[in-house]
Amino acid sequence: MQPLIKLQNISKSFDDTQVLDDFSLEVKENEFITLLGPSGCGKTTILRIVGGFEKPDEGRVFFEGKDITAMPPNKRHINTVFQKYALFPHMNIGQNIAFGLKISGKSDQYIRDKVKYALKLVNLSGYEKRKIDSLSGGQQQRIAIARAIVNEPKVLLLDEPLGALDLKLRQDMEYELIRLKNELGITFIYVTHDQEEALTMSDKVVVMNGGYIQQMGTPEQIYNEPENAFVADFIGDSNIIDAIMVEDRVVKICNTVFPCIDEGFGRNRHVDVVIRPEDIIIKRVPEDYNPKVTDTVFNFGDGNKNTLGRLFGTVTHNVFIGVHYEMEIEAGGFTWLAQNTVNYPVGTKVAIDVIPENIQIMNKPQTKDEEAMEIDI
Amino acid sequence: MTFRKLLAAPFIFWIIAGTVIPLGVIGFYGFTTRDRNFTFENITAIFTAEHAQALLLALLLAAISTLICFVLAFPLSLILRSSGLGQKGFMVFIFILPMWMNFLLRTMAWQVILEKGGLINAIITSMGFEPLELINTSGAIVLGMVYDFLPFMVLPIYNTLMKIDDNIIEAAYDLGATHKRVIWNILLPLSIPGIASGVTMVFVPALTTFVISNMLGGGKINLIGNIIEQEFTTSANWNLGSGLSLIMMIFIVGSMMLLSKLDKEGEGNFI
Repeated sequence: MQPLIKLQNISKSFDDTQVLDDFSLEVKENEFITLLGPSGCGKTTILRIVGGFEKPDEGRVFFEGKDITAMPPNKRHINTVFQKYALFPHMNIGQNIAFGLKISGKSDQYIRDKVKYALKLVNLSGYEKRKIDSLSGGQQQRIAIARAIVNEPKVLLLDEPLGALDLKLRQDMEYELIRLKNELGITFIYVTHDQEEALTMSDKVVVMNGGYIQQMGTPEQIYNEPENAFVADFIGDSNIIDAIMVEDRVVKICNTVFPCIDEGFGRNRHVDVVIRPEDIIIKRVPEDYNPKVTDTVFNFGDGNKNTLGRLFGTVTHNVFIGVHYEMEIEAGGFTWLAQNTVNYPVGTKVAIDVIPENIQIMNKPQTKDEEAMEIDI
Repeated sequence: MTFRKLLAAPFIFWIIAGTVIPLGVIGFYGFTTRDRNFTFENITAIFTAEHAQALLLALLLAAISTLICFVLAFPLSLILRSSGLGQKGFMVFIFILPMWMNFLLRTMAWQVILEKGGLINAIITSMGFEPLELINTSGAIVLGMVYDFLPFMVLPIYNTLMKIDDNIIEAAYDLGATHKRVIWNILLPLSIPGIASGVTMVFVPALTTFVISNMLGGGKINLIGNIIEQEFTTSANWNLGSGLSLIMMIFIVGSMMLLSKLDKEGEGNFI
């Protein structure tokens, strides 16, 4: 199937700063795609290029196969929900929503019905005559969404639309956006720096940094199989550790051998390993227990690949953050972030295990500097 | 009295000395005769043909000047906003630069340009045409008013336009609006507070001026400002001058009240 939107080799710089360099992306019809990354990663610039507010220095933008690179925003079948709502302050809510329809010359009756329908969609029925400044932030954002979707765009661009809302409202709006997307069958391109929003709503997440795509995939893929340390670090809390891939399915972390399930990295390669804090299994060990290094080697050495690797250490930090306790554990010369519903107070001697499936092996980033460094090693 | 209230004392003194007492004195003169008897004559004097004509002409010329100032200032502010030239403040600086030169000097310059043997007529006659009657016309007065007061229209309009969030304009384009539509339906209504204060700041001084009409009207065209000035100086009739000033004040306060309704954001609060 032909992609609805195709960005081809887009480059863009502002003044002397290169924001995007040879960026390409395809968006399918009916997809909820999220561009996720820290501020300054170029995600908003992409949105503005799709919306027509910025012209790329190089590259083409295609919409349903047609080149729209030079088309001004008022000619595109794309509507935008802006970060700060951008409602027209001198118009009431009904006039705001009707603005696009009036321009396209629809009949009064049609406009009235459509405005009513759009307000119903965002759960603000009967608000036509209200003034903009009488609304809360969440309501204003819903009006901004109604104003965009009432024009039945093929694509809806959303630029961090929930950024200014508090947590509870944001979660409500996340569900509302998913519902809208399913009801309307519009393609959503969503920009955010909030990984939770990205994971909750998207069909596809594009993790970006420094103008490049770091990883693209379903929320599950992004979370469970980050391709590099940046993605792992950006998507949720995680332990990212230098390690050596001894051979297929064997990785040495903190000088301790752990069985894992990854293959094809070669022998004795330096890699990054990511382990999610909730995947660290904690066991209390006796106060006077003096682990021997040979313990783990022995566990592994008996040929049973399912045997866990194991590190010994001490809990150094402990906070209760709601559902679980978040702990820091000093073990093997690394401070591990661990989450557990069981409380292990500070000072507790513990053993930590990780099952092979939860050890995610990633290639080291291959910039030229780092390649040179690796040769030195 | 608390210390905070004590801090306000100099300002209260200033208001009393600078506003309340002078107004009281004008009020006293306006409602009395030379013999200190109470009278309405100084007020009703506005209905005499000479005075009424001067007032109507002043209103007309001030209104025309204000309109011309707006027609020049609004597109100029739009250009300054969209070109980004205004961002650096340099273009705005150029436009308000004449404000820092002496008002009389600026008006006198026009005298030199417009008069019979002036610059424009010198060019015209050198090309073999008859010299034009440029100075001592209503047109010359309007020109002087526009030239002198244009910056007061540009600044508040420019300020309100610059304060409009770019996203709002982008949202309008996003919803399919053309340039024309964005100007009419978004930028113009959103700059009404600035327009209102600009209109006040041009209309009020234009209505009361006597210097511009003196210098460019050559004493032939009398505006209400000239009449009041003459009552205070040549005629030495302070009572009539004060009475007419009170009439003027009604017009000024009235127009300011009308316009301040449009200027909710207080763009012109410093007037």
